Amino acid sequence: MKARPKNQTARAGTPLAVQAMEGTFAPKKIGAKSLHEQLSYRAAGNPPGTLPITAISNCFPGLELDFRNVWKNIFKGIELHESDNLVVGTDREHEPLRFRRLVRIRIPGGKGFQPLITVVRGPATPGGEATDLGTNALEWGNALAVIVSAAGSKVTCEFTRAAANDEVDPDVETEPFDLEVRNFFEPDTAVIARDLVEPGQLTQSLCSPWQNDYRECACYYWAASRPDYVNVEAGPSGTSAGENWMQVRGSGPRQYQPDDFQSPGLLTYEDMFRRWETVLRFEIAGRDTD
Amino acid sequence: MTIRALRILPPFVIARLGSSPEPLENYDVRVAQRDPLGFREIHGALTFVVDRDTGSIRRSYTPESIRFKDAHGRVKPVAPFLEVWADVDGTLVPLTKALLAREKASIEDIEWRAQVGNQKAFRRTGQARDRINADTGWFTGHKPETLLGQCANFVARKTLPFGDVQFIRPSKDFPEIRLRFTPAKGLIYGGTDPRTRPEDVADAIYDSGRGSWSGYSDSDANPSTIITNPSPIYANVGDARSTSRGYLDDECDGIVEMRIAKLNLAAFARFGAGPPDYAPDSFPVRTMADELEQILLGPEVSDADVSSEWTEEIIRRAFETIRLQNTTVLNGNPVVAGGAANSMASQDTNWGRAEEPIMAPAIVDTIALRALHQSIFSALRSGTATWFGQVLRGFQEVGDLTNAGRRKMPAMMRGSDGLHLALTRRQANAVRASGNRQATAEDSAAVTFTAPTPRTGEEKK
Amino acid sequence: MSAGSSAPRSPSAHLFGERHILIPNGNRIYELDDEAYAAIAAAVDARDETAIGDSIISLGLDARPFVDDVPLADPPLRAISLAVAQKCNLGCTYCYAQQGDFGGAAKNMPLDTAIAAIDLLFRDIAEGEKVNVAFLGGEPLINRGIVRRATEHARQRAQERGAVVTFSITSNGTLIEEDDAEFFEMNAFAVTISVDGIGAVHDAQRPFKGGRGSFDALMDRVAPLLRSQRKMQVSARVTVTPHNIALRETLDDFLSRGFHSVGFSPMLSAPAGDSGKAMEMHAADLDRMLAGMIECGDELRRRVIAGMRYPFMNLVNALREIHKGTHRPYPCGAGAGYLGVSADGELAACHRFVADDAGAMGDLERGIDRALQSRWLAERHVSRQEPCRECWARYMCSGGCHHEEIHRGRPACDYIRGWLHYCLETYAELLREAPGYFGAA
Repeated sequence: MKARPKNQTARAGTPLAVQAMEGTFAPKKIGAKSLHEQLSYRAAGNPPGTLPITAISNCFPGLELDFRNVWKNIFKGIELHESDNLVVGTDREHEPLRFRRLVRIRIPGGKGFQPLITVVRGPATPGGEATDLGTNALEWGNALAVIVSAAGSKVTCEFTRAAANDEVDPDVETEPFDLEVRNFFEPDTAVIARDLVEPGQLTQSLCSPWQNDYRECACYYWAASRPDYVNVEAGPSGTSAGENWMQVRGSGPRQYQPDDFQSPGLLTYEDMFRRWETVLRFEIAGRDTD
Repeated sequence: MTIRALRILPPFVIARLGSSPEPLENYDVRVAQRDPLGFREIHGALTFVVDRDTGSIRRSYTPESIRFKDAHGRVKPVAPFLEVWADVDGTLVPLTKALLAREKASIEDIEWRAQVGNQKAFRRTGQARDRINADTGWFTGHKPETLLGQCANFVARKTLPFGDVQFIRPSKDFPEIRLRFTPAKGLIYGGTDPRTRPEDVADAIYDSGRGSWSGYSDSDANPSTIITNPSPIYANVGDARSTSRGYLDDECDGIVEMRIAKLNLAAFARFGAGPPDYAPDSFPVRTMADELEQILLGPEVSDADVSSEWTEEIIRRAFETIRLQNTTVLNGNPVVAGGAANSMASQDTNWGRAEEPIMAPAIVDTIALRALHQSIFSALRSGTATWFGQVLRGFQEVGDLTNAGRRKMPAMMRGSDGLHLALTRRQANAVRASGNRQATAEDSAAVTFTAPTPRTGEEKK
Repeated sequence: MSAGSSAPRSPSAHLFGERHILIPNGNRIYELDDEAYAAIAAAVDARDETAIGDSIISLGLDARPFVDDVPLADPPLRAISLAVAQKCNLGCTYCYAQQGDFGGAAKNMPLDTAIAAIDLLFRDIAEGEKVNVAFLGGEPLINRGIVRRATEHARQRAQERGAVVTFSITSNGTLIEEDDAEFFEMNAFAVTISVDGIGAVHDAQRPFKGGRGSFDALMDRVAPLLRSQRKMQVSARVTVTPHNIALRETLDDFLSRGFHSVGFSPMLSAPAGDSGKAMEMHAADLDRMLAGMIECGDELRRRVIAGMRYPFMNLVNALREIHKGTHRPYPCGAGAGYLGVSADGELAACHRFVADDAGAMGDLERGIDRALQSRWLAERHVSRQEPCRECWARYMCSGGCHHEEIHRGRPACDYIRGWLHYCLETYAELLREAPGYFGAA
């Protein structure tokens, strides 16, 4: 011991996940019931890129995993679409629910309802009044966060009364069914339960091959893993100038090429399939560093 | 004192593809002490060098600097270790040879098994014969055990290698029980038909005569809503139907388990292999750690959980994303050079929403946004950024495409539902709660240490 | 001078206990090994700031500043006090409100003023947030009707907003009626009774306006309250003057009478006039008071180690805040999240600044005067206070009570540091001897 922290500020309010990547959380023992510590643990020799904190979870569809898939089998008897409130599969008993939509869930403990559909609203003309533009399913991660604690018991789920291929309004007529919630974690552990996802299911809805995604998708929302704007300098007017990460380097003056699949200055599918290890650059401090 | 149970830690670990024979060294990523919004610093950390033939850790060392590609320009794979811990009287400690000996068991009694899958083709075609699975079967010993993906629709005797697992041989210096997963190289595989271009692929292993993955189109799905969202997201020939070339990659995810039959003990963990993290000193605003934490601990936060460090970390991560974005373009500002850029502003038009920049065009330059985040950050440091909680997007407000709605934070990013990103409810509650924690006492007495307080109600018995 | 004294020798480290260190930046506490302690103690003894800084860095204890020099901007309002009655039936010798009327005409707060103040408090409150309404005076129970109706109104507002409201009242106790107990209990009031000693000692400081002692009257009135405490908590607050420094005796007596807790506060700034000035504490008095506080504290240590309760609030609170590592640039919420409201609707930095221009913050009609407030917050930030910037205790004491400092300066720094040093040592000892007191370690 040189200095042993005593009070709470000395013990640091830094999140465990951050302490793990900083190397300051490396316990030699962990309480068997301290599941958060187990979840945040970084094994000896593992670089931070192995930790869940380095994996994006705004999965549309995702990079390392499509985490939305963990919710597909959260209710016994039905399989949900990973990105929609649609029942895509059922066991024999729940066959009538096939291709119906899950509209809302009664929150356990008499705490009202969790809607699973949101109305999309905005102006149809620039500066105009907001109008209803349609509906969309809420992502499972936040919408279902309140039912995990009901594992092992049944919750009341309200479905459309018939199969519904298209999105439905939040106030559509519904029919209730009581469905059992599965354990998210294997009991007493911090590992995602065995029967929740099978091998291959957490990656199944990602791009095939993943290299396609870097070219295909507008991946600007994953910039901390798949950068967009790099080698940035302050320009003469105090604004910035830099390059698109997917831009072919050294092909001309430094100017950002917008992400447009027809632009000749950007990497092509062929570059990605054949030379991804060479053409994609690691960015340290925002600059190309291989 | 007996072993009640075993656990594999971490319970979830991520590997990253690369073709270099040298795995990426270990390092720590630390917030710069003097510049909390600067780039995090990468420092070498204790690295194990494994002898692939014997499975022993040959040596350990701390690298002076970290290179993410090797001397030949190949990406170094991230090859994680998974450790076995033993529950001894309610406390987990690393399982070692000595601990096993106390239970009259030995290293030789430990059996492992890894099972992974790549279901990307199956997710589209729905044909069970398109599942690609690999299973080492139960094994002992310290040789690398390859994970060879098998699929009913592959050409006879062809497999798709997903890498290997190796039980590391415990030694005097490294007595712990651990396994290492070394992922695949990041190769692409194709089919036996002309949609596969030989230059793109390592091998043509998919029998296009038997399976339908090459030639598949999302437009044929019935009902149409079962397709992935977004779609179509697979290599295709570039026609209007986005006809699949039938390409497969060597990503995977699965389960590793171990057992000691004579002690009736077993454990498992999950792992996956994804692409490299190309900005290793920057972190996404919402991560798998945040999801898992919300599921484990719930969306609500308690006072004891909340800390300014947590809120700062959320803002830092939001900034780390913004910093690597061309926010001027992503805001939907009119761009002089080039065509219409993909951005939330342009995505919103899919709903019939008018095309308009999200923020006032003048303020969204990346450098200007840095100044904005810095001022949020210093307000937070002084415990005063309560308003920040009010500008967060609620998880049920993601469909609000009005300008006021789109300007909430995090801005200009996309969530799992394709709409504007919201933080996890737990993250958002943490930000709000930390804003509530400022001095509101009615009397100096309530917070200062020097005088008594009329209102505490918190005294411990 | 040994390393472990309370004297202000370094703004960046303070040593106490056997080998403990307080790092004022974040009020973090560490236990050092002998070698590390010796090195930093030598640097502190030599007053060598460079060497102290180097030691802190080599121990890995340096950190980003937990508190910066930027004043609070536009803090949301979370607590108010209502001076429901600017009049009092007592004639206390040291009263900051100058016998209740704040040096002006005695008056009661009208209902619409109380309602407007509560509406201001709730204006920007969101679901789940917490607010406090305090009733002060003068003697607030002179205007009992308004206390009750304002409470009702605040409860209703809280219900509409899904917010949590708590109530407190500070009273001299002499006007409490039987049914007040039920009302306070129903609304879970934190009731603070100002009571300065036992019998004659109290009477000398807190007589009725006619000169008669108030102790017996107040104890008669308070007794039913003490008996019916469940959700309500009734505490005693003792203002310590040169004439009532028998702290331990007072503490034990009040606890035996059933007060939920007892706290002491030195009289540092009394209004002008011979009788007031005779009540102010000077250095020698503060030394005696510190000895009394330590005597009470030692008893708390004994009791806590024996697993017993001893609600000596000064130390209970200090231990809690030390354990949390609370660190603040302001001593309280005055002028920030907390404002006082006068009977005629003027806003003030706190209840003590009612009718005092030094803490004016606008009025109910026009709202909080953000210009006055931001000037106040800039001027009152501890980084602007002297000699605080050089003091290790600056983020604990945070410059001390604004009202006292503005009207008398800082005559009590040695007392405060002496007390905090004692609290830190007690913290280190209890962490070792009774760690369960602080919850799971």
